[in-house]
Formats: sequence, C-alpha cells, structure tokens
Amino acid sequence: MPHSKLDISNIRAQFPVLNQTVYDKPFIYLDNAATTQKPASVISSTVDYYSSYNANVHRGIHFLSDRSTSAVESTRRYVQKFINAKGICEIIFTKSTTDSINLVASTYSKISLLPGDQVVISAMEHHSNILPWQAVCKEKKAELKVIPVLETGELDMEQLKIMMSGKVKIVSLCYVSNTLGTINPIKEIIAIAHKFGAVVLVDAAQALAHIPIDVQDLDCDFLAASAHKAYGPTGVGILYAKQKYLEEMPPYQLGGGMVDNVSFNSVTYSSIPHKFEAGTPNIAGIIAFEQALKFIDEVGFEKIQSHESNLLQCLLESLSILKNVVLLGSSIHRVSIISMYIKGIHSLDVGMLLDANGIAVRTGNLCTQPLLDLFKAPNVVRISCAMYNTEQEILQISKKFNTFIEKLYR
Amino acid sequence: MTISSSKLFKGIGQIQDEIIREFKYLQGDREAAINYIMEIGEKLPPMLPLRKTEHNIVYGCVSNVWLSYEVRDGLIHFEGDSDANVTKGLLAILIAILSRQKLDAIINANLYFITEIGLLNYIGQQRSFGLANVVKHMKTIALTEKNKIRRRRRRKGTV
Repeated sequence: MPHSKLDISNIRAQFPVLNQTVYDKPFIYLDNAATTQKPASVISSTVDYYSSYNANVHRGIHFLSDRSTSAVESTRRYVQKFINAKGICEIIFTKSTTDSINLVASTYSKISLLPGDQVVISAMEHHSNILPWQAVCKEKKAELKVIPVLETGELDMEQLKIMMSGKVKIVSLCYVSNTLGTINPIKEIIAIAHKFGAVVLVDAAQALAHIPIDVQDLDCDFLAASAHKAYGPTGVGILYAKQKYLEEMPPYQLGGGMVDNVSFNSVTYSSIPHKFEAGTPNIAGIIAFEQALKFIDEVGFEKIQSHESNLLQCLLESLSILKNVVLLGSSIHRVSIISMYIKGIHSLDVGMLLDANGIAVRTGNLCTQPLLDLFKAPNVVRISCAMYNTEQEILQISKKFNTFIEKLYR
Repeated sequence: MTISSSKLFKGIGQIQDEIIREFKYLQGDREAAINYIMEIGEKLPPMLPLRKTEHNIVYGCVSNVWLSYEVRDGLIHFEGDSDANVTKGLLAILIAILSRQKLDAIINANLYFITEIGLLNYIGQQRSFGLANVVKHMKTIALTEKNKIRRRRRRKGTV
C-alpha cells in the first residue's frame, strides 16, 4: 500500500521560524542535525507554562506545583510509550544526550569497569560519545577500542565481531551517524554484545525524530537522546536504562530532589528515576517535549520516513552529478544527512556563501574529528533534513553549489 | 582590491579609506561582499610550507591561520595564509593596512574600516573573534619589536 503523503504546507505552517527571509532571501534551514525547529504547540506550551503554572516540581504541595509535577510526569509517561520502555522508572530526564552519556560513563563504570577491561566505541562517534569513555578508561585503566568504519560509511561488522570478547564490558554506539547519516545495525550489534556479557549504550540523538525506536525490541541497556533534535526544546535530554542497572548505579549528581533523608553524617537516596535527577530540571522544556513527541506521532513515522527518504534521494541525485564534489559515505541505510566537500573550497567559505543566500547548513568537523580524519576531509559541509524541508529547497542548494563550482573552476 | 604599489607612502588611514570606497560599490550585497573578500584572498601570495609552523599559528580562528613577519628597515612586513579563502581575504586586507607601517602606527592603529563597511555583519560572530585575534596578534608583534628596540638602546646606553 503506498504511503500517504505528508502534508508539507500544513507542516510548514506550524513552524513559525520558517516563515522569514534572511538577508532578503527565503529562509532555508538545512541544519537539523544540529537542532530542529519547533512547532507552535511546543512554543505555546512553554508560554503557557510560564504564564499559568510555573512552580518547582516534586517538592511542593500547592496547586501550581502539583500541576507542574503532573505535567513533567506526563512527559515521562509519553517518552516511555514513545520508545516502548518497560517501566516508567527507566526514563531519566537529563540536560542532553551528552549529559546522558556522561551520566552512564561516570556511574556505570564505577560498578563495572576494572583494569584491563575494554570499552568499545566506533570511529563514527560524536565527541560526546568518545570523550567520556576516553576519560573513564584512563581513570579505570581500561582499554578503549574503536570499531573501524568502511569507505561506504558503514561499520566494519567483521572487525566488530573480532573485537568482541569477554573483556568488553561496555559498547557505546550511535544509532545514526550525525556526519554520515548511516543507520547502524544496532539490534544485531546488541545481540552480539550481549553474548559476551557486555552492555550497550545507544546514542539515539540523530535517530529519535527519524526512526521509530523500541528499546525492548532493540534490547539496548541504555539509550540517550535529546529533545532539541526531535522538535523539542534545548536543555532537555533523556536517558533510558534498564531498571536493574539504574538500581545498581550510584547517583551522578548530588543535591536536592534526589534524596529521602539527609543528615550531616548520612544520606538516603530517592528511588529511581529521581535518584538521577538532582536539582531543578528544565521543567518548561520537559513539559514542552511531550508536545514535540505528540507532533511526531500525529504526523506519523511512516509519512516522515517516506518524505525524508525522498529528500535524501533528491539530495543524492542532485549532488552526485556535480563535478569536484565529494560525498562522505554511500550507505543505503541512512537518514537524510549528507556531508560533503567541494574540492578547492573550504567548507567555511561554502557555508558563508550559502548563508548569504539564506541557506543554513553546518560546516567544520561536526564534532567528529576522528571520522573526518579517516575520510581525509579536514572540514565538510553538512546538509541535514527534517520533515518540513522540501525538494525545492534541496534543488535550490544544489543550484548554489553548481554556481560556486562554476565560478571556482571557470 | 587594487592596492597601489605606492602604498609605502600611504598611512593606515588612507589605505582604510580606499578599502571603504571599494566596499561602497557593493552596496551592502552580502554575497558580492563575501565573493569580493574571497577574490582578494586569492591574490594573497601563499606562504611557504616551512613557514607554516606552530609558532606562526594564530589561535582562536575558525580556519587555520598562519601569520609571520620580517623586520626590514625598521618596518614590519607581515605575511599570512589560511586554508579558507574568506580568511585569506581578511588577512590580505589587514596586511595591506598594517604591513610596512611604523611600529607605533601599528600598535595604535584604529581600524575604523571594520565598522564603516559593516565587516562583522558579513563575516559573522565566530569569524569576528578570529579577526580580532589576528589584529591583536599583529599589534603584539609590533609591541614586541618595539620592546626589543628599547632593550637594545638601553644596553647601548642610548635611552
């Protein structure tokens, strides 16, 4: 049965930021892997919160605090449902994917890593999924192993299988590469890792808005994601973790909101998930996040994936015919992210020229320096789509690339 | 940018006024301004690889920037390079203004052309920090050379 099409005009109408000109040119936003734009429902949720029921959560007994607490817990239930977590206590609110990964690296390593143990990541990881592991391996005298990436932009699964052994305690991988757009065979990797007794953390930052996630089906032990890459506010992240691990892990940050009893000599920590939620969270952000997830659900992943797949095709077709353009990776399993460079032009220069035409892309090393070193690309331009982008926008950016190339190589 | 070869006799102010006049022709067209800066950068002679040392890197720039200099007849001759054309263009402009000027003129230079042509609007926040770093670097070089001269004179007892 053919997928029913996404109503692009209706979708775009719900994102007020898209309706503007930049330097008198129509605004084209193609930097969604950095952050997505927000629908009106998310924006009005924030306004409504601060206008009507702003109050600190979990600790008050008055009407407003009750209402804000209920709203936060409602988001927690929605996230649980969105990723099909077994228990609501398995959903922790953090500041971001980076915060979630640091939480696991810092606390899970305390109960699992011994000298000589190994942590496995891949060469396509974001710095946020490299540096925390680098640090804990140094601290615990464990070894950091790196799964190579093939020229296609896919993980070298043969090497992965060779690398796995009883020494590997933690595997931490991205579901989707923020630079290559590659969708990794995460379920298969988790099954392999579990055979050797290793736990797996999935960095789902680039996946949450683009691929339906079922943590029980994947059987991942941890999953980290950010609200702001899924049409939600900045400053809100999620960490999913299997209950048994959360109960064993020591708290990450200490303070108010995560304790039951405190004296100067002793402390009793709260049960999960609150054990891992010290301090006042980004309440408005968490509440608005539910609206973002509802928005995705109302559009539907089927339509989103179909539309974004068309955008990817359009991108690949229009860019691959351009001379002197190098596209990184060629995996057929990818979301609509492409990183590329034009030979002879620094990506910063390309980015500035595109910006002058109202087009927003990301340039530089995309927080994946080791990956770019592998591809011998010191800097790249990344185009990353979301559900509100159109084929016309893709054709416009390709036209601009063509102009730059013609000018450079005349 | 047509930088006259008789620049030796032009002060920092005169060169800046020339630059301001050139940019006025662009009438605020952003893409034209960026292309223009890139064209200026294309004309900047490349730096020899052996001069692209760690010592000559200017930190705090979004692209790689190298800056070196020589002192000839009491004047500083700057040389710069970058892997990005817009950065090269900015370097070329700064070198055109500050190279072969007296040390005090460099140290005290008021680079008003930056505001006059709205340069920071064209190049954005990140590159603005980089530009400020390069200017600071060039002025520090001039100050360093001035201090060297002072020390030499003190040793000779002429101060």
